[in-house]
Amino acid sequence: MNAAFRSALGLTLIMAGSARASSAQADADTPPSCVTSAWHVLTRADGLPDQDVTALRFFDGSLWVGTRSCLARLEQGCWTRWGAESGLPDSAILSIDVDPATRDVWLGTLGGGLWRMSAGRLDRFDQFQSGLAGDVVFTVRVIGPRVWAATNGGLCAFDWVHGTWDLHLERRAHSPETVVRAIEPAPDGVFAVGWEEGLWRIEDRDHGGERLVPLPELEPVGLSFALGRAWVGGAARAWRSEAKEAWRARDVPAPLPGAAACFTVSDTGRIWFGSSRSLWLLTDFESGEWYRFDFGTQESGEASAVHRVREGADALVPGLPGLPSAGELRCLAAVGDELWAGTSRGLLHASSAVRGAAHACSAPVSPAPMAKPTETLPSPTYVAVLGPFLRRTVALPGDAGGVNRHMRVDPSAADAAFRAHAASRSSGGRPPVVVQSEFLGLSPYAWGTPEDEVITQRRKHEPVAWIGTIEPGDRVACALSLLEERPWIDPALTEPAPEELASPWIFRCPSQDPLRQRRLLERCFAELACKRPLLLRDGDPYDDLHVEWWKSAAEQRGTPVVAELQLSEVLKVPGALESLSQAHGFDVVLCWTDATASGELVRYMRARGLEQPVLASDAVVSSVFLERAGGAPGRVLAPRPCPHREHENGGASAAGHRYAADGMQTAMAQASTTYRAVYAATGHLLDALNRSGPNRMELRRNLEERRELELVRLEGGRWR
Amino acid sequence: MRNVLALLASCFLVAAGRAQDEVLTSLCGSRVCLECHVAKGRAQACTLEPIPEHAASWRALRKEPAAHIAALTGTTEPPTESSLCLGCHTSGADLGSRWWQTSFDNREGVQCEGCHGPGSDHVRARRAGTPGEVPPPLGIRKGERSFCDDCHRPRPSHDLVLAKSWRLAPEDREYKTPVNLAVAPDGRRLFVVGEHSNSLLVLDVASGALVREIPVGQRPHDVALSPDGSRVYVSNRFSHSVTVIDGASFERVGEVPVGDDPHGLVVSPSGADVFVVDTGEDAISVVDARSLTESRRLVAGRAPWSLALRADGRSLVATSLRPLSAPFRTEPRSELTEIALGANVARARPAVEGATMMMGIAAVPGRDVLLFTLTRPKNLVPITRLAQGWVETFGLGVLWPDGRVDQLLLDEPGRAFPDPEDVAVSPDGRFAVVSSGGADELALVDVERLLHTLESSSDEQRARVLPNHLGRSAEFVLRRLHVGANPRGLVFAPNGRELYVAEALEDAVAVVSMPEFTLTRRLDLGGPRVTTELREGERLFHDATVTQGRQLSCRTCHPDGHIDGLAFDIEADGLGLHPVDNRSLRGIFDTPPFKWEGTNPSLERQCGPRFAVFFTRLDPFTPDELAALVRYLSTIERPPNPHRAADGLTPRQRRGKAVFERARANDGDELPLEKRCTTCHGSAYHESGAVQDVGTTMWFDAAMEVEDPDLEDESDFGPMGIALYQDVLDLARRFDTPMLRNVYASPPYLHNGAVRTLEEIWTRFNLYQGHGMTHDLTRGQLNDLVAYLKAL
Repeated sequence: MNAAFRSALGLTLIMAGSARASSAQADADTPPSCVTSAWHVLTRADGLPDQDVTALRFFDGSLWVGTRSCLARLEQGCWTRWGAESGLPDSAILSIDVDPATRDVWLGTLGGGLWRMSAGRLDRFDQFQSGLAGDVVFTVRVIGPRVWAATNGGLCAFDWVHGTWDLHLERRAHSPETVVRAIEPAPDGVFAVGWEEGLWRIEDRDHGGERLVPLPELEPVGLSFALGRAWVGGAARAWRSEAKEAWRARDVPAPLPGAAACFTVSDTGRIWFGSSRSLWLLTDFESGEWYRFDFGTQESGEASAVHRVREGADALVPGLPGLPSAGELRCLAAVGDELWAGTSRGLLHASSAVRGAAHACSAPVSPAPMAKPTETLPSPTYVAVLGPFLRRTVALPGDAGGVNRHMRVDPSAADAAFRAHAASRSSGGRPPVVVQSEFLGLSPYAWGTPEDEVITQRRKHEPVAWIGTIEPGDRVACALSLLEERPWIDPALTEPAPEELASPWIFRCPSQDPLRQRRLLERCFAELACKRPLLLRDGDPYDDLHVEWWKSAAEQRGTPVVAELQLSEVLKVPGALESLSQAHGFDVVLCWTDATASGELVRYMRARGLEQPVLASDAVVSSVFLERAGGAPGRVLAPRPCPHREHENGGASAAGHRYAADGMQTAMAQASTTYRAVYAATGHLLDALNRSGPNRMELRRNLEERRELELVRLEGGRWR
Repeated sequence: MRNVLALLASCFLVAAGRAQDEVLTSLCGSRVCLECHVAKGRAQACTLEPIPEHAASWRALRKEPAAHIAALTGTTEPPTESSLCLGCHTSGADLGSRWWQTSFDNREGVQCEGCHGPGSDHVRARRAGTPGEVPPPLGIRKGERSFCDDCHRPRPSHDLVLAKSWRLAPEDREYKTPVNLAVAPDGRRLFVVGEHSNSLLVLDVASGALVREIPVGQRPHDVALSPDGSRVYVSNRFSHSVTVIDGASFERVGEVPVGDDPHGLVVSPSGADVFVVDTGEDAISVVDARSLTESRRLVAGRAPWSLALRADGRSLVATSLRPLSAPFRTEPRSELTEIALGANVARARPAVEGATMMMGIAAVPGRDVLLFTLTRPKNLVPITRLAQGWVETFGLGVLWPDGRVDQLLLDEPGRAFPDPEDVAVSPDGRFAVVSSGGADELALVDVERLLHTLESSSDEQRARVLPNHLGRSAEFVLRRLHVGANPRGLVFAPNGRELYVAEALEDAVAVVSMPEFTLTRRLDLGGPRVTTELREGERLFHDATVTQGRQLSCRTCHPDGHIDGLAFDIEADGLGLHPVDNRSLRGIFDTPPFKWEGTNPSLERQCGPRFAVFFTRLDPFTPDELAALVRYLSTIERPPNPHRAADGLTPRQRRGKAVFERARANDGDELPLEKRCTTCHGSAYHESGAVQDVGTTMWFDAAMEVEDPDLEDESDFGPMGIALYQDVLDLARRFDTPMLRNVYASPPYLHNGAVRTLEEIWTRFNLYQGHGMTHDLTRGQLNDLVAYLKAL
């Protein structure tokens, strides 16, 4: 072999090696097919019956789609729809599963319970007429001979053949209910994830041995079981189960635009993570390679894009479009490299295979319409009320591990206060139950002024529901033990002051059980014998759910309902408003939150063309608000005297929301001041509601004409 | 640190307390109790006088009268095995043997723990403690004299047998009672199900001789053959099984467990699968014929009854006896269930409006049409139109290939065709024959004319006129033939020249020649030739000729002695007022009074002249007839409860029993007596014989003037407006306490049938806790309670 040949050979080899190196490098740089797949959006124009998609399920070549108003199936390019005319409830479908043995379709709904559709016949199972734990069924799974339902009242398994219902997790729960969000079958049991209890494993499906699997994620958004492992989606992290109950995590590389909303793992180990504004893909857990798909937006004109994030480096992937413009991500379904994503404005689909355009079937496969539903009452007037996340936890004395240390309360002082209450009661009527003040567990509520503080008690792990007034004393008028449903504070001894008579009631019940809520509320009202507008205070994680429930209750009572949405993040505001706007409608926005969030809110409303007036507290109208609002905010109503000019340069955005480290008194005083200001605005609103009744136009006019309110307009960058 | 330890300790104690709840107590037996609790011993002795009869009470069940008493209570098991009999004659029967320690022997009769509750915890504490120390009475219940009343009550069954020396006739155990039949593919053998003989009778068609009588399970109902005749399958209602028999040797091959109360069955054309309706579970079991195991279970209509293959062999259709669950006071609506063969999944569920009691079904060869029998009840209006035929009407339904359903009546004006049991179609598809169990009659239908009647009518006529027209049957019913007592199952010979009729209460098979449609011979099944009092009563029960226009028999509303799932507006007191739920007749003899208001102290009173006033509108039964009818009613059997395992209650049911028997609420407060379940639902029958007001009266249960219609709570508590009634007029009505045995099988509930499930009794209809103190129950406790009730 001569030198030239050897050189040539070497060169060739080097080139080949280079080529292989280049090829390997090129392979490493080539996104997988699930990234390069074309994205399509299916909307009503494509036959999708309802664009607000809430649940997805693949089965046997068909895609089952749950929406806010109906169930749909996409099969061989043809849509079939089942809605209210078929007998389905007017509740969003949260989950779908198909029994492989019988082909029966099981549906979990938002407040309508559990449904089975078998050859077109619909059967309902709810918490009134069956053993279902709760009517909000987040997840339904057919596992063997039983149907498992993760509900707001716990996890239950239904053996439909024998008609038996097993409850799980109840005995371990710190409260009578445990909100369970997701379940997945595993070869050796069932995994379930709750809202506050972490991850559970039911080891023996038949006898229900339960075990808490420690998981360092307090508020998981999703659960999957794939490749022999459990996968949990956290707020910004994907967890994978390892041996001996250890977990490994992969953080989402960048702050999620929008709150984490959905999570799934495909059968091939592709991990999808959805927030309200973006979609993330972890292509391989070991390599930690992420792809981010941004949504395009119509308003801002931002183009959607795909970014690859690997070893901390974020690089735009050229030539790949991101997600087309759609609504907020709600649910995901992945099979192999194919992904379906349900959004609030359509169904996203990415597949390496090109699907034919879908179309609506000419005749839906469904039985004859069921009996006509009873006539519904006209919807009451109600409003969206937005507030900050006001969770105040109480730490145990001496406990160094409290989650929040904003406040400390001396339990003996509170106990003494309650005993004083009891001692002052007359002997007539039913003797109240004196509850020992035991502080066990996390997140009891403290509310009201220091002088009249009501603390949610846990006696044998049962919380208390109460009705209080807004003003003037933030007084608790009536409280009922959750389990006993007997008075805990006797309303006969807490006569309302004259100035309170126009004040709305606040109903606060930590139970997620709508039946219990309703019964307690009715008991409270029966005790108080007074019908006033109702302010319902509820918080995460399913704000619109509570609006749904209480809309129904309010309809029956003819009571205006003020639905308060306590949002843990200001960025959830748009989503909440959007869902309210689409599903329920609202008339007035009352701003409780700080100027930052309020400004964002107003900007969002303007962008969406929502023209409802905003009724603000004095703390809102400030320069910070102005800056966030980004221009003319439309109509903002604030109680007189509106001190906005005083706050123009300083901003009182954090007033009441900064908890002084030096003690409860200051914090409570500050909070109370802000709350009172907001209450004042609320009081005006509710008075206007009382006068106008359900006439929405009348309400708006009444508000704007009230002498106590000042209509503030922003002109030329200044408040007028 | 101390606080942390205290916290940890409190958590542990809480956890330990929960673990304690999971360990349920068991029975130790009197001998263990007597180790300490003897007269003049240190431990407290029983304050009751020693009662030797208690110790002998189990032995009494082995004596001759016990079997006759058991028959009068609807008991199918031997008295020494019946939980009903053992409930009073021993201790521990209610729990079951899985809760008996080895030291416990139920043959020792009524023992200490029968009153004081299971003593295992108390004994364990005693043995673990210091000698001489008094152990805590863990789980021990203080005895009350009232406990005695649960068992020591007058029982008509005991009185009739012990005081009046009533006995079952020997022949009562020898009747065959043929209910269904099948013919071999070659036409030479006839297979007849003997319901009361618990056997399958094989007859030679030509000679009529009995070739073989094969024991099968308890209370067999239907028989089907594989297409090649090599296998014979028999459904057994009380055994919850299918017996498999070799078609050549007639030997039993096996027994396949299926669902509750199986009735009709059919074999797929390939012979690979056997489909059986589980009437008690609203399901269809699919049995793999090769492995003889159940491969899956499918949701069916309510109380499915029988099945038929479509002519193309690609699917089969099941009928259903009871209407689907629907809002109260709406017209009944029943379901046909179509199963796609091969995939073996439900394919369609055609609805049949206004109809119930769909029993027999048959395919019409060559037309891909199915015919099925049906009843059209008029339960929403008072039964004042008996003479006009406006209480019950009977007919045939037609299921077309596209799923459309038509209905036509077989009645004539003033002369109903009551209780159509079965339909068979001749092999050439020309004729259909329908059996009327209530009139002892067969109707010969010209199929082509029947279908022409429909096809030549407008949609409006088909939907609204024909299903209610009493005068159209003459267009397609060619002839009616009187046969023996209570004809049920029908089958044509393969050559179509003969029709075989199971004459259930004639104890024979009638042979009808076709197309002449004449009775040519009767095949004797070898049963008694004597008609006993019971058999006479059973005939009267099924006889509609006691009613004006033959419009209904007892069986019309009480098939299998049970229910039709309807609430009836019986009395002419106003439209829609005071409806009453239909009650089961199974095992009711010892549960007077009768009628929901409890105004009839005996069955004789219930079925006597009053019955004629409201129902039959003819002369009442003669005294002898009434006696025979009542005797038969008394012996209507109660099927074994599938929710109760052979060894007793499951832990879940046991927890439910604790809820049922609780005397304290969850907060520890004592429950008033009237708020405890056991006050009204104690004893082995779980009924007290008392008439009670439990706050279940609803606004439509009596006429009333509503003064203030603006009652805000009216719609808050379900569609019944119960709060309206309670708040406005405070009227209360008392109702007879129903027996809870087999309560799982008799929805809807309460006196007016307004409650669809057991859960609803307390989630919707116990607003003021008149029906027990239940508002403090957790979800789990309520589920456990329902599980227990289903096991009764």
